[in-house]
Amino acid sequence: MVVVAAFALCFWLYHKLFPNDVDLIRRQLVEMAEDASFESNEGQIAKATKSGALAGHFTINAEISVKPWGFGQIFVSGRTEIRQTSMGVRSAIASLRVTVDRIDIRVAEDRESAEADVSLTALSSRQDEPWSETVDIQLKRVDGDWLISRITNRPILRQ
Amino acid sequence: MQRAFFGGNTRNTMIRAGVFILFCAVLFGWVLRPIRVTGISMLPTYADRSLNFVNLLSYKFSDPKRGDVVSVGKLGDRAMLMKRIIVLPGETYSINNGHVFVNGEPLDEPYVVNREKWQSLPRTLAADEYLVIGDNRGMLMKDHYFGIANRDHLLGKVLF
Repeated sequence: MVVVAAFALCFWLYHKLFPNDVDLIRRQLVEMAEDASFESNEGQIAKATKSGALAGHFTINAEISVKPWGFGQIFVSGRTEIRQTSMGVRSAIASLRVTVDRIDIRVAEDRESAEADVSLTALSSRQDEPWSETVDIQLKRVDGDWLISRITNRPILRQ
Repeated sequence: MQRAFFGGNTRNTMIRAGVFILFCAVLFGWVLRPIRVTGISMLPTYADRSLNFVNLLSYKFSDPKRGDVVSVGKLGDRAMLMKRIIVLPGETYSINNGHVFVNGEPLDEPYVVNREKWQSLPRTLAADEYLVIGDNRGMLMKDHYFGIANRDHLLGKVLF
């Protein structure tokens, strides 16, 4: 029993100290969802800080092209525009909670790019029920960090 | 103390516990997926925050039927949609003043209590497409998340 527990602890520690690409990408996506979320009492400094942190998960020329339910096509390009959009959303909506439900990650052979098939759930103060969506996320390794270069959504339900 | 927890034969008790845990893992992982309803789109049939199960084997051996309440999503998703099958593959539907018409005939929907004046032009579904809608038609059409799902996104039938 002790040997099994020790082995499990070593395995866990190894992954914590030396995370592989999939672990790093998974962590990056979960942190992005956390930075996209906000509570109703978020102050102006926190809004700016978290919007900057959110933009930091993306490459400089990243593109987001999504069509959320009930909205038209949304296209955001570049880190600056992502930060501005985040600030705008935080001013327009009282609260937003984004959670990552499922992540399937495929890292390219050269380990310089990756694709993630991600299920997200978003609940804003304007909605009566959560909005679940599947999104395709492309990532690139930039200076050792995995950054998001493109997000597109694939609605489960089509109109 | 050990006797109180493990009975007379610790080894047998551990084996029984292991088998029980394995049985529960298989049952709730691959057969009956426990779900908690979140949201109001299935009112009044299913209340917000109510508990239920999805039978993941229900469509392995038979086709989905009209009126089935189903879980829609991708296998492995922790969050899935819960909707009712309204229109089957190959059928033509339209919505007029909140009433659904299938192949030109009005659909009897006893589970719908209130109706907003939803409108949708006639459309014919492809061979593997199903129209799924929640029971709460008292919502505005723009606020109600519904639409056409492919067969492989119908994960299973809601148990009760």
